[in-house]
Amino acid sequence: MKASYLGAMGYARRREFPRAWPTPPSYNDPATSVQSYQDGIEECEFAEEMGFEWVSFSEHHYSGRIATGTPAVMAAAVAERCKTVKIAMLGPLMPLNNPVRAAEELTLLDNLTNGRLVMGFLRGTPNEDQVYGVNPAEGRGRMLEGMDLILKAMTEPEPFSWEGQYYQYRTVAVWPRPVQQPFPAALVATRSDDAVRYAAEHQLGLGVSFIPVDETGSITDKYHAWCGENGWQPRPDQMVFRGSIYLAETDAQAQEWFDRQIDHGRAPGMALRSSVSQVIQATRAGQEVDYHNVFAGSASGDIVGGAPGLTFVGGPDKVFNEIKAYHDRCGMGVIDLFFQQPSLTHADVMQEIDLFGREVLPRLKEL
Amino acid sequence: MATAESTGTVVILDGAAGQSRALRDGLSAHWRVAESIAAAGSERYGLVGISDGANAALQHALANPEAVDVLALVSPTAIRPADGDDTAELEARLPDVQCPTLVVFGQEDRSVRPEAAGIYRERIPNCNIAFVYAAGHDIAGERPQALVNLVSDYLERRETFIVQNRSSVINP
Repeated sequence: MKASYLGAMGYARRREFPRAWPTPPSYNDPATSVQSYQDGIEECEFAEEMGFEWVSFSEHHYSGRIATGTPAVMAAAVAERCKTVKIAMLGPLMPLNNPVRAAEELTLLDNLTNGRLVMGFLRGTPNEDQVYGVNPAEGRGRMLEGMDLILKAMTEPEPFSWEGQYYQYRTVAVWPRPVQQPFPAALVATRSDDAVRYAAEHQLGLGVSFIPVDETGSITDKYHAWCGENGWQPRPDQMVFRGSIYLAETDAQAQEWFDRQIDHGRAPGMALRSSVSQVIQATRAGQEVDYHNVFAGSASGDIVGGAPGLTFVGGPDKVFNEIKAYHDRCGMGVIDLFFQQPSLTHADVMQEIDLFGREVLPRLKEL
Repeated sequence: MATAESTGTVVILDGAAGQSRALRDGLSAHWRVAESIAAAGSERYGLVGISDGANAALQHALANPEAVDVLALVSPTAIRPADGDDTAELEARLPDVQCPTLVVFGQEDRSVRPEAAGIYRERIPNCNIAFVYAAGHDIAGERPQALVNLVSDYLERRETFIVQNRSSVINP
């Protein structure tokens, strides 16, 4: 099993952020921001040194917790410092992005890294739809069409027009061509049947994030079955699970840290105003929105949590066994880990990478 | 989209009977749609072929360059069909197509090999290729409005159809 370090590039003072999304730009001090990115790059380099085989990037907007709204820019910078790891773009968010632009960024990254790119397609969390004004009801359709267009743009040798449902381009001729032919290693990050089926039909890998092992297993069971119906089975490195982690020397130390987070109201995750959250979820589900009731329900201006808790918390043995469960039960071959919990400093994270590299990673590689 | 001033004649050769109804209805708003080449009259005309009809349209355009003004081949199977027929002879004649030509495939059409579209584009002197998303071989049946808009725009503007002419102004 391989390990992937999520290059979140979190802003150093993210512990001071309000939980509500978006985080106001007023919280960003340029000097702190510059240092935060340098610290984040250093973490990626150290992860590579400690045996991580992938470094991943994720598209998240308007928040310093994962401060890579344009992950291709970040990936290009890290790719120049980390010379052997796979550069895994687990963005881009398909509903938000112009697929032709995404294809151009991805093929350029595959060239810059001489074929080390892994690309993941995903829909994004509900708040992300709001960044570029995407109707949540259309996100699924834009994702499915966007994936088709990206793969076509990477593989069609002659200039072409695209007559889609959401996209119409009369001239597409993407440069450069990818180093990996016919297109770079690719996966679909999803929990939804239609996108899982798309991955199986197109012989793409699968990514699943932040949910318990049994729930993940019910998704990978379907994926394996549908791959079989399409006459193939994925390789281990085509199956990626992303989880968040806090690793300490002992289980007791890790638990003590975790309890402190709850006590201080620093449980990870972002929050949306409940009225906004309700409308997004209803619209995504294709339901009619009763705005009168939405506003009546949020008269107090309450904030609801919208993010998962930590996936792996413990000492090396406990964390190893929890990750191993995703390998054994679900067939996951790559574990992509988010280390930068909000209350941690750069030094804390470096210490964790060191501990993980010494005590957990060697055992994972034997799986 | 075609403008109200479009008054030329378009002939549709439908290789799969009935599939072209939406296209015929869509184009008839702006063109005189002839039922056959014989009914087109003596003036130059646009020629739209669907499936096997596209193969016939291609042959007709090659044989009658003086008559065909603009050509649209929808789901043609004449070049590199999936069943592996040798089409080298026809491919060698593609440079002789003299009119602007649009070649349209459904993104999921498996009746031709994947390189087929590129061959038209590479060899016909003035050729655009287009892929219609969420459609297989029967584009007219699966994405009728998309096909009407695409073909109509091409017939009207030919190779300049790549130039965006819709406004993006939200609030003037």
